[in-house]
Amino acid sequence: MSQTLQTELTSLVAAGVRTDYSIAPRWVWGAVAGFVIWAAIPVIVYLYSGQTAIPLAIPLGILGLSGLFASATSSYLVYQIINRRNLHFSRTEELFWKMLEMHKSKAQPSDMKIQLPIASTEQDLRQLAGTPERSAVLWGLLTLIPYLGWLALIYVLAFLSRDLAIHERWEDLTIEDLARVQVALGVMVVPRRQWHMPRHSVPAYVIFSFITLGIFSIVWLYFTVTDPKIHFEYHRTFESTFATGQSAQGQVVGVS
Amino acid sequence: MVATRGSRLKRIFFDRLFQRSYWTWRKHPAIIVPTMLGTGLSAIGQSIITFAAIVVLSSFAVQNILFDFLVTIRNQGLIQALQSPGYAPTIIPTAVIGVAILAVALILGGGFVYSAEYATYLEAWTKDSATFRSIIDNGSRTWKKMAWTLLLNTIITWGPLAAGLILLLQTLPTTAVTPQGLATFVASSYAFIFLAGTSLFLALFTLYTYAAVVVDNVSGIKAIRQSFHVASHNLPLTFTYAVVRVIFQLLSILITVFAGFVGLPLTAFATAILSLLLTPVLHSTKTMIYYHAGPAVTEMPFTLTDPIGNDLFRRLPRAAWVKTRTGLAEIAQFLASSRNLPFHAASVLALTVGILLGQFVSNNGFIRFYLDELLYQPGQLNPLLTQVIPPALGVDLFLHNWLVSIAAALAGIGFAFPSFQVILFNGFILGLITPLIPDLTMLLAILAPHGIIEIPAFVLAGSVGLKLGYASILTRARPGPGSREYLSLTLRQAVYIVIGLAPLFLIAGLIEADLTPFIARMFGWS
Repeated sequence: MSQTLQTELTSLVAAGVRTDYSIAPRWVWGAVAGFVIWAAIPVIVYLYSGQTAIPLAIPLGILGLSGLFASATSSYLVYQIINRRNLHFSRTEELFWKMLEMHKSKAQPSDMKIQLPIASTEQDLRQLAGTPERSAVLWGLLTLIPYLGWLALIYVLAFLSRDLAIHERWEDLTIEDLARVQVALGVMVVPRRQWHMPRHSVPAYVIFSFITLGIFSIVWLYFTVTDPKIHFEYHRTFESTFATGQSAQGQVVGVS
Repeated sequence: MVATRGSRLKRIFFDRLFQRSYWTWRKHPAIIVPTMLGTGLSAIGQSIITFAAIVVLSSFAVQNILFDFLVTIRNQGLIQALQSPGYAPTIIPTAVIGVAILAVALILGGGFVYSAEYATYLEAWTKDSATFRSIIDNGSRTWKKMAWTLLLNTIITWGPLAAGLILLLQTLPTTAVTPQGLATFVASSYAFIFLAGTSLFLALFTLYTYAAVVVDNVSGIKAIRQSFHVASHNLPLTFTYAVVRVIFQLLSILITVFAGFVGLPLTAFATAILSLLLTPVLHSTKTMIYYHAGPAVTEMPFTLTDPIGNDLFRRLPRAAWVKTRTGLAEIAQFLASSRNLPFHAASVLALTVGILLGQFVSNNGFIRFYLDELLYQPGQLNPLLTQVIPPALGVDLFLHNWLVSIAAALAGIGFAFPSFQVILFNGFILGLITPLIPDLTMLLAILAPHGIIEIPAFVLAGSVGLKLGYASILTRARPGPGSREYLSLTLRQAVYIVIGLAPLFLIAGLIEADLTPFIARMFGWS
């Protein structure tokens, strides 16, 4: 294994701290505040319509600005969640490609016992990389738009739930095939995942969000913030062992 | 490399490009200079319009028909006034010449500015460098191609909208007169909606036209075709860019509107953020989408960048302060050099001529119109001062004046005239309103507290603009590396001087909003 590849792998493992970050659940309060304020505005306008004695401009201005501020915090939260998804997906993809590249450099081209699982891993990796990029900037901004932003938020939560589930599934298959390569090469293998992220029924959650006039989407947002913890924990475990094994022996060993 | 990775379709990541555009903007702050030149270009356009307006108003003042003209506009509208045989012979030729000069100036100037802008983004990304010299070189290299492309692109993209607008305006006078007229108006409204939609649709596909000129060195129809090709092959990405651009604009409007309700004037703040931060970052992103769509460019690798949020609120203000200090030092050097005296003198002359012209127009019809027709009570403060939250008004005034000074200084690149005209016009406005103030004490009370900082700051911006104009004339008259170096050095000086003027305008703005009304009331203003 070349020194460059080793360095690249080490830096990819080290980058995990910055890509697989945890987000404080208190950010969800921004979405709660935004929901309450934007819901209050039409109620106030309705109650005070026709009462010319009370000028509406100032309370409307204060509520509008506060609503925008609250929406900005929830919009930043959405940005962080999607950005974390993108960074994690990209790093994982890059990490597995590098691991495979390293194994390929050790394998004999004529050894079908190794070449077949390598081809299979490549197939899995292409599927893993197939999830399209979701722009954190775009969706963060869209959720900032008053009222319409809630529809955008529900869509964001739906695709995040779906993408994370698909990612974990393809990641498991990749790891399984990668383990076959590692077994054939006689190196220690990456461990199987013990705990999966909670699976949510996207259609049911969407319907629930509409029925509750958006309130349930806040609960769903909370789940989306906290759910990936298990997934990241698994990554941390095998990557740290991987990095330690690499530095200790000068070659990748993984753990069994 | 893993061979199979190459067999996968190349991906272009919007967020990676956007984030890297932001960091490129941070690393090479010079990339905002072309955007600043863009505000200078707007000032060139405005200076042509204001020059035409001053010519018309002064001419009517000489003929002693200004009061009647203003009354006609007020009572019968501008269209009616234009049809009057007394005013048309002056207004129509001035307007036609003005519009023709404006169109030529905007196309040629736009060619230079866009060429400098998009090529600088490309250079900052690919060569990791953006200097004042390269901005001038980039602007000069492809300005003809860019101007031609700009003209064609404007006609093709916005032509349908213009045609729809003309159609709509033509059917307006007959509306509600006859059922046939009404039917024509409804039909033309539908045609307008269709044509406006066509323009918006075309705008999405011609998004990369200017980037194509600098990246692929093509022009005209070929650049437009290239843009169509890239946009249609990367439709989700193009759509993402367009939506992000529109939402930024919409949000700035929304914030301004809500802030306006509670007396927080944020229009100038929104303009400053849009023109100095968002426009360079978004245009750079757009250029890089086009660049990465090219077949020779590989997929952007996975790299980690620092979070933008932390930088925006912590390190960026510190960096801005460092630049401001450099700007203040540049002002001191500019003022200390005796070589710059002719530019200071010319700037003061522009202001003086403007004040005298304004006073002449005011005394020959304008003041009468203001007092008799608009029923203005002399000695009354602007009601805006009591309707808004004072510190916010101060910041708004600061940003507005600062943006005007940026435009005044950088418009000088259009061979000095625009800077002279911007200062002359500001003097003209000053001259127009001073005769309305009852006495000298009241004039000084309302003007001196903030004017003592604001007016010299404007004159200084005009002065450096005139120097920039002199440098650009020199480059045209005596082309060569020496004159080009002088132009790039003067551009650098102009940029740093306007940055250094920011704290002066901030102080002047805060005084104008918080102290001036208080002092003015002490001297008879109500």
